[in-house]
Amino acid sequence: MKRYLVFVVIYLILIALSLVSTAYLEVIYYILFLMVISQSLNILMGFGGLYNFGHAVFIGIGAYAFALLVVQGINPYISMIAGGVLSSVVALLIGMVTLRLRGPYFAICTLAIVPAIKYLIIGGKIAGGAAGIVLLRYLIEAYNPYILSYILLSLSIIITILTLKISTSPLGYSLKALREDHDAALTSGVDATRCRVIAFILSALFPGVAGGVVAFKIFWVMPETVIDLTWSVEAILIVLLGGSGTVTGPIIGALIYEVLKDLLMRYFPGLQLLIFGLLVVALISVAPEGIVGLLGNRFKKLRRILI
Amino acid sequence: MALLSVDNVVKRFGGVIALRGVSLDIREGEILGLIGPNGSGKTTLVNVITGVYHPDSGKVMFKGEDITRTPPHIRCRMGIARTYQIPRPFNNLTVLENVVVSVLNGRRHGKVSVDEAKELAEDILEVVGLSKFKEYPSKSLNAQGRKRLEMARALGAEPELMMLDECLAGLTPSEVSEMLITIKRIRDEKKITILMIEHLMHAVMNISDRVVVLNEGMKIAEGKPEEIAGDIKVAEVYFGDRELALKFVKR
Amino acid sequence: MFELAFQVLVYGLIIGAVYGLATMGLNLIWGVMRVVNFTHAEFLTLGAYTAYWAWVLLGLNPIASIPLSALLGFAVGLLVFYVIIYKLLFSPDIHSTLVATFALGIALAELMKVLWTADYRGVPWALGVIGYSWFSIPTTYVIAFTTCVLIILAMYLILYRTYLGKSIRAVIWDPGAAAICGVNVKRTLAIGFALGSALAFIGGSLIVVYLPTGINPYMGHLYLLKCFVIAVVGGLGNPWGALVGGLVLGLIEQAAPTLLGFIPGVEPLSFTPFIGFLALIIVLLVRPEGILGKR
Repeated sequence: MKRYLVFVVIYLILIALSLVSTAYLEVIYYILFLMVISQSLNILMGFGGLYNFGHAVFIGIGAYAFALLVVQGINPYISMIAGGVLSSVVALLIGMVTLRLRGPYFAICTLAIVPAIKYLIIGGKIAGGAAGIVLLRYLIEAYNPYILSYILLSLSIIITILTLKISTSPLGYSLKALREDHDAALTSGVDATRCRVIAFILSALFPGVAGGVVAFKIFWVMPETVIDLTWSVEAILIVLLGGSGTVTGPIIGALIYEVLKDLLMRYFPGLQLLIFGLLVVALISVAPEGIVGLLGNRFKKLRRILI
Repeated sequence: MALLSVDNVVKRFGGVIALRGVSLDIREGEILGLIGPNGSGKTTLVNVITGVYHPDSGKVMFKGEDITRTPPHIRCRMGIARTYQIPRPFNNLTVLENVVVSVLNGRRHGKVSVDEAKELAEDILEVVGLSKFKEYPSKSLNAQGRKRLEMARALGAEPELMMLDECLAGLTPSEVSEMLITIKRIRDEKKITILMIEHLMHAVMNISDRVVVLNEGMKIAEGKPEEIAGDIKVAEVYFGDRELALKFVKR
Repeated sequence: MFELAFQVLVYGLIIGAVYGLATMGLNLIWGVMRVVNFTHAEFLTLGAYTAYWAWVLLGLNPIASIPLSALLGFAVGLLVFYVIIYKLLFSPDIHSTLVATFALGIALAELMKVLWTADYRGVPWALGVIGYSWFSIPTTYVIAFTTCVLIILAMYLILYRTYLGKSIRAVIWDPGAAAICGVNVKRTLAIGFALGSALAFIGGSLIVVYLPTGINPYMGHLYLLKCFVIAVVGGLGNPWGALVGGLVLGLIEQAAPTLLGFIPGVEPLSFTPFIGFLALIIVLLVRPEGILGKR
């Protein structure tokens, strides 16, 4: 039970703060969103060692699926789940093509996917093209910021439990082996393609649902707003910051990142990205194991709860 | 019937022909030594057998089945395992976890739980003498430890055929003796057939039932260790000079 | 019909050559040290800004600002290499340099925004057109193309006729063997990186000729996709691959809008980059080492 201390504490804090004041709700909403997308990326990147710069695409696809269903009159919450399913299907398709690529090629290709899908939608005039789909009149009555945040909270808890399970499962062992040494993993019997595809699909499911939540919140789905490379970058940053491959890492990382971002916005407005950019360079040079890794190395007693 | 047979395998890398039509059989239960000068194609042959390389022509048969196009991980699950010349541990995993990977993905794939796999892995670490280090990160092992881990990981897959690529390189004489004893035990107790690539002549001649000699991608000799030791062609390849080889062989 | 094809061909080659030059640095850096330089786009942008400030402050046209760009690019490259890249080359995680250069790119773009605002700036350098009855091309384009060719020739001379160039090619082929032959590998890597970054700066200055009003801190994003398509299609390890890839993309960019115009329901200008992306995917699947890459 003590193993889950970190999670319980953080989630309780977030819930308490959200009830205290609606001012905090906005921030907490975003923290939970970040937790969902970075924990799901952790499965692919932390365990599997694959840097998916196109992670944001899954959010966008979920958002579009949500939008397309809601305008047909379908219940928004079901549409969100459908968003997750569609994201997973797209992940399967993208994965079949990109997962056979090695490290840097994979990163380049996935980085290129974000603008590519944007151009595809705008240029192919799909789902409203550049103008997108306006959802205001379909959702205005059902809108409740608390519900959206609690959906994200549930997603975050579920994906964290899932990640914990994967970490100690055969899939987890296989992914980590592939990450460490691809060829040696193959000759030890690991089915590289299958494991990677499964990890890829799992990493897409929850951002897909979260995409629906985002669409619900902003009422208007456009390529520019829902397919945003920033989210990919934030997810990767948080996984690295917290501790790639650990389960507590993305949770702690998301919290620290958002708090840092808000502080920077208050005291150094306009300079946040600059400072974050330099921070990541320092991070990867000096502490690639992330905060959880650093704490674990320094305070051996904390290792049990910093899984 | 041979456990594994390689049939006229040719492998090219651009302009370099690494294997020029090599054929050999590995008989069940034997320890087969594979020797030859550097660059003769020994490791390439092992890579073809494990499936990391596909031959340009020729066949690989395992227990009567044609596995020439079978993917590497399936070959492992069929019972072929290998160690690497320069050890390649899963660095950020513990010693135990390294072996658990191959237990979960080898012959028992899908039939064993993680906890059962851990127990089996612990037994294997016992056999190679790494029990003490089971929770250590594998990157912290020294040279001998890494070689042993290579072997433990290969054993984890419960192979029928285990291919050792220069597993004695870099070991002290006493470590070499220990390793040879371990290899013999593995063959005798676990009934695993062994292919050993080695440069340490006295070790490989001592332990092998049969020896195959490669040179420049071709098999130039095959037979019992004493036959190979007296073979003029083999001596010539190692000495580079026929006169010198003749003198050596006459002795 | 012929006029159209001719126009597409000429514009495609002329613009493509500059794209190729702009990407050459990326291929070179990958070839020499297996680093994907995600800061490349920001180096391009800095080169563009160099051309801008040279125009505004010194009255130099983009071509004349090239020596300045080259020097700045070289210096910045050396700095980045020694401060950041060198240490990360030996890290066990192959993605370290990738993440570091990516983050540095973001930081640089923001720095430019802070220094020079996000306003679009331009270098309105125009010298009329060269043309016949049915075909015309801005004179500046032709000048940029010629300069590009000269620089490529210079690169050829450097890579194949100087000791430095030979050491770079040796390190690309086999760093260990190069070291044994007495090549100072660390210094060669540094110069290789600096050369790559200098090329990116030069490319940025040249690109300014083609987009008179589009200079802003985020223009790198636009060229990021283009440069990677070019680099991969041409072959990452080979600097000349960038040229081939550049010409290919240049031709696609000129031909696609016209061809796509025939397809109803498609917006040609936005769809064209997607075609580029398709080219990237196809190459990665069919021949990942690119047209000129080594197997």
